[in-house]
Amino acid sequence: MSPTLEAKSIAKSFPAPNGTISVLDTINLALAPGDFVSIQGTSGSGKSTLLLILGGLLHPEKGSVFLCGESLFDCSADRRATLRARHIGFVFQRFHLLPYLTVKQNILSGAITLQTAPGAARADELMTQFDLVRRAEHLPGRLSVGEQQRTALARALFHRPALLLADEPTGNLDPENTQIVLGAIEDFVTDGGAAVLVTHHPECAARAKKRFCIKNKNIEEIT
Amino acid sequence: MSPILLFLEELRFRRWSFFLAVIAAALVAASLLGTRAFLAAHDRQTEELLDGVRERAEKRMAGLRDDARMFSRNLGFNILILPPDQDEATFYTKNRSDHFFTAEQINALKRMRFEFINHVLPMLRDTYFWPEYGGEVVLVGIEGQIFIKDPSFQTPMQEEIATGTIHIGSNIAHRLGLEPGKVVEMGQKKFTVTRLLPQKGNADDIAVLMNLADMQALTGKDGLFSGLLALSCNCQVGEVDPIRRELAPVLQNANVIEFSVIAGAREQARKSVAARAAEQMEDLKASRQALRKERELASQLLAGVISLCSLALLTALMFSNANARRVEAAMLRALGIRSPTLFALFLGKALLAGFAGGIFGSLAVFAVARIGWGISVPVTEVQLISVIAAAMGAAFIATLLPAWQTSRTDPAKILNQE
Repeated sequence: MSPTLEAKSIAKSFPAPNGTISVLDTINLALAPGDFVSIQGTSGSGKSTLLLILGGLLHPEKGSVFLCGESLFDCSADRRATLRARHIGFVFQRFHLLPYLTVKQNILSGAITLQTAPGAARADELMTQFDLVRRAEHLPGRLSVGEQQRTALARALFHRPALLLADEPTGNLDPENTQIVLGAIEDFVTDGGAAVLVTHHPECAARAKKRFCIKNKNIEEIT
Repeated sequence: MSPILLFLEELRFRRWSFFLAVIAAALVAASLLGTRAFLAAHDRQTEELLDGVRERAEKRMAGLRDDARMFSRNLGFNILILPPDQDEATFYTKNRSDHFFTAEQINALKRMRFEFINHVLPMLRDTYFWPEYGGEVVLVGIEGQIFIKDPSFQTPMQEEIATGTIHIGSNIAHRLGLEPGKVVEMGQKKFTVTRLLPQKGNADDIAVLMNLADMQALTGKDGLFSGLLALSCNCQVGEVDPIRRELAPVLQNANVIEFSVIAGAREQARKSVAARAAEQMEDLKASRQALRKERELASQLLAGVISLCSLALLTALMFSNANARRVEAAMLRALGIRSPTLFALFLGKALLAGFAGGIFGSLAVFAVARIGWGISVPVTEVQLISVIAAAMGAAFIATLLPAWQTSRTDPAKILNQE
């Protein structure tokens, strides 16, 4: 089975007052459909940076990323945006819901640039799955933290992406909502998706099939 | 879910900031259009002032015309009409005529209406040796005026002299010690002095004015007239041809003589009044024109300052809006929206605010001009479109940098920071 995501020799550094700080060096990672990996690490270790590179939002200095067989950084920005919109779903710790869209509209915005997007039925299905039906017409400002994260997750899954990239999705959640979110990610990979979960909670990381840790700019599998 | 819906929902969500942007753009439009309205109000006020001056000048002119008329009337008749064959030298030096108009001619004149003369008075003039006086006096026989243009308004310049009464010149009165009420004898007929004429320094001082019939009887010139005295109406010195033409049907080739000093005084009085009024109008026009220039400059400066302030306000609003939407923009980029689309979303909002502001500002100026000043703003369709375009342009310029920055910001940086 061809991998959904393949990162080869990824390196990244950032400018600093005294030169540059290297964050990642020679990172290799591959995910096939049904893979669920977690990445742990201390704050500032480069977990989120790696996730943004995997999502095509941040250029690596070295290495390449293949998404569904297509190199993300050897194509135009437009093509990259199209690949991202079609194949990736993002979930962030701070949700990043659009404040002026209702819950249902936020979910529908997951496919805002796609020519052939799932219809409202898919949004209804996700709202049912995440217990958001009674909140469908509410703006994010009126939702609880858990409801906001469930809405963000529903948005990420709306267009049935091949890859889900989740950056600390449970960081602000209570245990109940944490279980809902992790359960939804597990259901997603069970249905053939691939997921990367960045977290520094060992309990959350343990729910993944493979666990990785970033240490000293390198990624190591935790066995 | 389409970018258009995204645009509209964002607009609704941040409606107050959009409203502020509309107000700022409206200020740009209002300041530009307001200049025109302000100047139009000034022009209207100038017209009203000029109308007032014109009206007052016309009233003053009418008053002065009356004064001039009364003045020239007091100066006396300014036209003398003599028979064509009458030698002027004889008439002036000997104070008598040797050619006459006939009673038929005078009767015919009584039935006419004149355009260029008024107060027409037939008279007979002759000399008479008056023993009591010790020499010749000038006799002037008159009857009532045969023509007054507007009898209901105008009184005769020369009152009728009743038969058996006389008016005497100052020299005669002085020499004979006469005063009103005294009786004198002339040609074996008694006359009562009813009036002493004021001293004039000419032959009138040795004149005796009497009823025409009395004089005709006294001199044996029954039915004869030396000439006519009249007052010209055309107010222009040296223009006696119209009078001559007017008299021609009855007095063919009559000799029309103008007392140019009197006519000139009258003309000068009228011209002076007209010139003063014109000067006053010109002065007012000049001062209003100068004020207009000052106001135009001031209003243009004010419009510039308001436009710049509005532009600054718009820029601040747009930067604030862009800053508030940085994360949202990063998230939209993560969702696959391209940066030109994001840029267009920002600019679209600015252009809409500019358009709405342009319309709103223009309507506000129209309303203020109509209700406050009672005028319509003189603006063509092209100018109105230009004003709205200027408001849109201001919003566009104010948004350009923040929109460009936000749409070009690396989403990874923002999402990573968050």
